[in-house]
Amino acid sequence: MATAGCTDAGDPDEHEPPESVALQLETVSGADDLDRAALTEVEDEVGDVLSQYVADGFLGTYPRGDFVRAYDSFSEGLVPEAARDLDILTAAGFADAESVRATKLDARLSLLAPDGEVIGASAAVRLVFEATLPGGETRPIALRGRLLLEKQDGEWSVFGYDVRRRGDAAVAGEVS
Amino acid sequence: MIRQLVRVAVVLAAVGLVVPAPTVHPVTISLTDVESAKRVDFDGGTAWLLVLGSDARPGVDVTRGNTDAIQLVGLDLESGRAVGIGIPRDAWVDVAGESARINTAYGDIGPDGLADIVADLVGIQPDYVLLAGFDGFRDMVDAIGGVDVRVDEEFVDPASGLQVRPGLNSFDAQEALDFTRTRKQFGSGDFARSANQQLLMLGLLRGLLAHEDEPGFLERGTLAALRGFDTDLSPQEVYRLAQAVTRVRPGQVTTCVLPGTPDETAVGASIVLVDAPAARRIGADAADDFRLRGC
Repeated sequence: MATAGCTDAGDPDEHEPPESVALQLETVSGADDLDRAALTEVEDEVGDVLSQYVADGFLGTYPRGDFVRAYDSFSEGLVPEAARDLDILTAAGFADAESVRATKLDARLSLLAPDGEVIGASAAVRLVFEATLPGGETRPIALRGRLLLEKQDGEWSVFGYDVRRRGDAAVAGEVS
Repeated sequence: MIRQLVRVAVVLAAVGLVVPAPTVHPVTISLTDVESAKRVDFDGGTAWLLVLGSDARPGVDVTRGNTDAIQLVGLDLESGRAVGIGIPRDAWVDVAGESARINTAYGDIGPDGLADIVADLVGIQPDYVLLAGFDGFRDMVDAIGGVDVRVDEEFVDPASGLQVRPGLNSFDAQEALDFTRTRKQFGSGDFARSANQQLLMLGLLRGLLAHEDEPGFLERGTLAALRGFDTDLSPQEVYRLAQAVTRVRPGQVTTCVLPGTPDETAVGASIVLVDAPAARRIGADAADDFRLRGC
C-alpha cells in the first residue's frame, strides 16, 4: 500500500488547518504484468492526482472559495459537467466552515495495462472529512465511488466519475 | 444528468422543550443528504458506433472475413438512451460501383467505405467502427464472465446444438457466439439473427451495469476488447467507451432491424432488398433523440 501526501491549499500562516490523514492507495487489480518499479511509478502518479484533487476540493484554509481548482486534472470535456456537480465533488457547500480535515482517504486502483503499459485506471475511493462550522459544531462529509483516469502523453487526467456523496448540512431556521 | 437526491434522515435536534406561549424559537435541523453523480467524458456525450462481427475463423485476420453482424449503435450519455439499428448482412448494396452483399464491403473497401454505405442507408454517419472476430468476441464475453440474454421464443440451433428457452438464458462465450450466428431455423433468418444480436448486446449492457463496481471488471473487459477488436478508436478511447456505456439505461434502449424483402441473385444467392425509405425513416427517428418509436 502506498501513501501519498495531501497538501492543504491556502496560506498556512493565516489559519493553520487541522491536521489531515494521508491518502492510502492500494492497487488491487491489473498489475500482473508490471514490475515493482513500474507499479510504484503508477501509484505515485495517480496518488499525486488524487491528492491534489482532495487538497483543492476539500482541504485548505477556510473560509475559502475557488473549489473548481479541484478540476485541474479533469479532462477538458468533463470540467463543464463536473461544474454542475460541484457540491458533490467538493466541499463547496461548506465554504463558510472554520476548517475541514480529512479523517480517512482510501483509494483502491484497478489498472488497465495493455502490453504492460498502464493507460488507464479506476480508483475506488472512500474519502471522509470532518468540517468544523462557525461555533465549533462538526459535520461529517463522505465521498465514495469511482474516479476514472487515463494516461495520455505522460499525463494523467480524470475523465469520469461515479460517486455518492453523504454529508450533513446545517440548516438554521425559526419556528413559532 | 444522473443525479439523485435522497433525504435519509431529517431532524436531529430542536431547541425549546417547554413552550410557554406562542413565540419564536430558533431551530437547528441537520439534514443528511446522499447525492450521486455519474459522468464520463466521451466524444461530447453522443456517439454513433458501427459494431461489426467478422466471420473470419480463428487464426485468420478478422478484416478478411465477412461482417455477419452489422449493428449501428447510438449512445446519448446525458439521457442514458441508446439505439441499435441492425442491418441484415445480406443487404444488397452498392460496393465500389457493383452490387454486392453488405457483409463483403469491409474486406473490399475497408471500414470507412462500409461506414459510408451505412450512412447512405440510414442517413447517419458512424463516428467509429469496431470489428470483432470469433476469438475477440469470445474473449470479451469470457472476460466479463458470460452473458445473460432474455429471449421471447425457444429454439434449438441445429448447427451448434444451442438450446434457447424463453426467458433468461445464461450463455458462456461459445454459446453467446452461437446465439448471434444462428439463423436457419428462423423463417425470417437474416432479420431474426440481427435482432438476436441486439438482444445479446442488451445482455452485455446489463452485465456491465451489474458488475461495474467490481474492482478490475471494466478493465478486464476493456483489455479483452483491445486484444480482440480491430478499431479506429485509440486504447484510451476504448476505455472511455467501456466506461461511457455504463451510463446507458437498459430500459432506455430501443432497437430496430432494417426491413427488406428476401430475394435471390441470378446465381441463387440469398440477398435482402432493403426498404430504403423505411431505412431512412428509422435513421431519422434514431438521430432525432436516440430513441426509436417503431420499426
